[in-house]
Amino acid sequence: MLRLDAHAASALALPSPGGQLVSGARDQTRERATAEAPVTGAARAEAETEALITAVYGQHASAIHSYAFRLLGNQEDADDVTQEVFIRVHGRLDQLRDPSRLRPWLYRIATNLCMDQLRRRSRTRRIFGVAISLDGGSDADDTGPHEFAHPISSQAIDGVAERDHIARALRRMSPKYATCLVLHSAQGLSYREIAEILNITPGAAAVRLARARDMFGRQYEALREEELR
Amino acid sequence: MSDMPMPCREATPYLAALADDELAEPLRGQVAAHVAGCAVCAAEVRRHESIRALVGTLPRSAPSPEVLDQVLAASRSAGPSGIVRESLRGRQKRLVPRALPGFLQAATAPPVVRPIGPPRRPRSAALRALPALAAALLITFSVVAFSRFSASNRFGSHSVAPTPQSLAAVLQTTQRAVESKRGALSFSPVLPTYLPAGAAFAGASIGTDPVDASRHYVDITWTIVLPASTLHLRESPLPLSARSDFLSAGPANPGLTWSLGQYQWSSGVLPSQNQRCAIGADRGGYSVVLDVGMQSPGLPCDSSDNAKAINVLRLASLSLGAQYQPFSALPPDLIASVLHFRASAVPGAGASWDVYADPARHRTSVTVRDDHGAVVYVDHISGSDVTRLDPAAHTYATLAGGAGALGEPVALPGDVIAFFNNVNAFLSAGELWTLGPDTADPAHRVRLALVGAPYPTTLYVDPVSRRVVGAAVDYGASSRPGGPNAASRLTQATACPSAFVTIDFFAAGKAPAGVFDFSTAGYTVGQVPRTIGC
Repeated sequence: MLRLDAHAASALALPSPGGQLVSGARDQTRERATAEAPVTGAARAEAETEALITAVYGQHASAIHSYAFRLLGNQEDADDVTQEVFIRVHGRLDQLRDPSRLRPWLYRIATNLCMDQLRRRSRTRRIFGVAISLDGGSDADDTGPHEFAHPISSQAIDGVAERDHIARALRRMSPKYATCLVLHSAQGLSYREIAEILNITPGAAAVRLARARDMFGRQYEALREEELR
Repeated sequence: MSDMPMPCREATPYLAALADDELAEPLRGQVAAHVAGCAVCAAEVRRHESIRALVGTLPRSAPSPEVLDQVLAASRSAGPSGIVRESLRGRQKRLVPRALPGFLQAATAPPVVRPIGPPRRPRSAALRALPALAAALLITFSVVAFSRFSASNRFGSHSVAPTPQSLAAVLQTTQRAVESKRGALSFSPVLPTYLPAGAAFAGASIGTDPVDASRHYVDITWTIVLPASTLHLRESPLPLSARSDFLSAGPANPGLTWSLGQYQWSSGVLPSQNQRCAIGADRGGYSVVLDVGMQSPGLPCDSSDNAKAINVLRLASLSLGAQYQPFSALPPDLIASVLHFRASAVPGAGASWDVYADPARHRTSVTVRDDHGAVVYVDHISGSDVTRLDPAAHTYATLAGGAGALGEPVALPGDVIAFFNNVNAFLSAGELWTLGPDTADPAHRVRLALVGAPYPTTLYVDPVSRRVVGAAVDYGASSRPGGPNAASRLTQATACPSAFVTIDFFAAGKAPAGVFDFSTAGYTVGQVPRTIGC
């Protein structure tokens, strides 16, 4: 829990990034707005909304961006998804008073946007005949933008290849399964949270995750074999 | 419940959930008991765990700095009815502008923050009278306001309710407010160009020095979100040593002393504010003091528990009068690049290693020099084969054990790579400062200063691809941007040898010619120098 100093306590109508920020900050600001002149009501409402969005952004933007980056593989697309997700927060804050619902909601929007983007890439490739499909396994399949940072660390080249394989294997998977795998293994979400995000049951999430791992394992091994050839 | 062990066909559906710790008792115990005695199922559990670990190594990232501004701008333009946009599909142009960096557009667009100066001259006699009238009103207002605020002698009185805005809007609001009070001051106040995300202008006021009533200072206050607090700036015509509102802490808080360029910041406290932590600097003709609410006020000001607050102080203070613009950058393309770095055993001195590495072709060249700069030996590494040449004796030897056995910096360590991988996160946090085009190569390199580094550290970014293309550390400079206790990212003076002087990433075709050329012609097999250590 963040602490407010004396100045902040008297001046801030801003929410802390803690769990209760949405409802708590809004109520606090509303009380202040009520007590003051009505002419400042619109400005205060705007300030209140911006404070909420800023706080929600500060708490979740990095995770949402990382999720999109891991799926889409480049900064610009991840920026776009992050921006779109938090723009949508604006119209839904009243419905997201329960902080426990906020995170799954953000991930759900991000998932839909990422899947749109991945499908669009696939469709574009078909139209221009550059690659066949996401599961095609051809080198051309890897032409999509990807900027995963490849380590050239002290353990050097093996690490570079490893991370490259992971990214490429993910891109070869169906978006439906890739999202599930990233949500669990990279973002650290539970079966129950994944189920809520994907609008399926926890059991179905477990099954989908197991299949996603099988697919990932096959693609990962296939890439290894291709490189050895 | 049966004591019979669970057979494979019953355990199989639960192996993934067991690996993920998602099974509840008693099922978890039954499946775990089966796995303990079944090599096949144990292997399957390990497979799930290894895939989870593999995918978990994918790097984290951070949004570019302009994303929050765009979100807030969209929120503002949408009004209370909200924004309706169901999908990215069909969007004709991206929401985040992807033009050249802001400072590269400076020649064609007005800067966001302008220097504080006199207002433009009106064009008519009637208009000429307006500033005088406005000034009279402002002075009257200031006197009235001051008579109220000075009684309480509050540092940073709030005259305006906090209103979270984009950084540019907050800076503009601040500038307008301070400009309106400029007439009461005997100096030109300087403003920050960096404030943390979510900062909001809270107020600006004029005060009078308690000792010399003819001297006026200006107080500016912002609210900030992380840490939830306020940031205050007081600029006074008095030198720091003569100010009664700031007591120097001397060497008590070395973590709160830093410099970037000509101004040296030192730590202190505000005696009238319950010894609130602050920093101050003389700027020639006036002095500035910045303070922020610490996360743990009971701990020393430079405690690591106050790291976020300290960082706000550092970045805001370094940005005073500086040209800071948001910028986003990408990690270097480590697969396709040839890496060149120079490391030294002692920061900026001692034995040195010049390393060229071409990961795509699995080859590395290392030239090792002694304290005087003379080449001691040259290693050529291809896969696991290392050939060491002694240019002085014209002898060479093949070393067993490969590059990993050399014990030398033949590749960048993981923490340096992690720094490059997360370059955009550092930019977003304001720890990397854009300094504009590199004067030595303005078309191809933009300079970024790592403001929290113990030595002046510069990163270079290609303005077109936005990728990091190099880094340099100036060990010879007296300036200490992050202060003496700063955490090092590219300089590890205590670990040997890992003091990186320069790091460059070349596109494969642009690496210096001949760096990987290798021949033993004219050399004979013989003794070679042993590995140089620290």
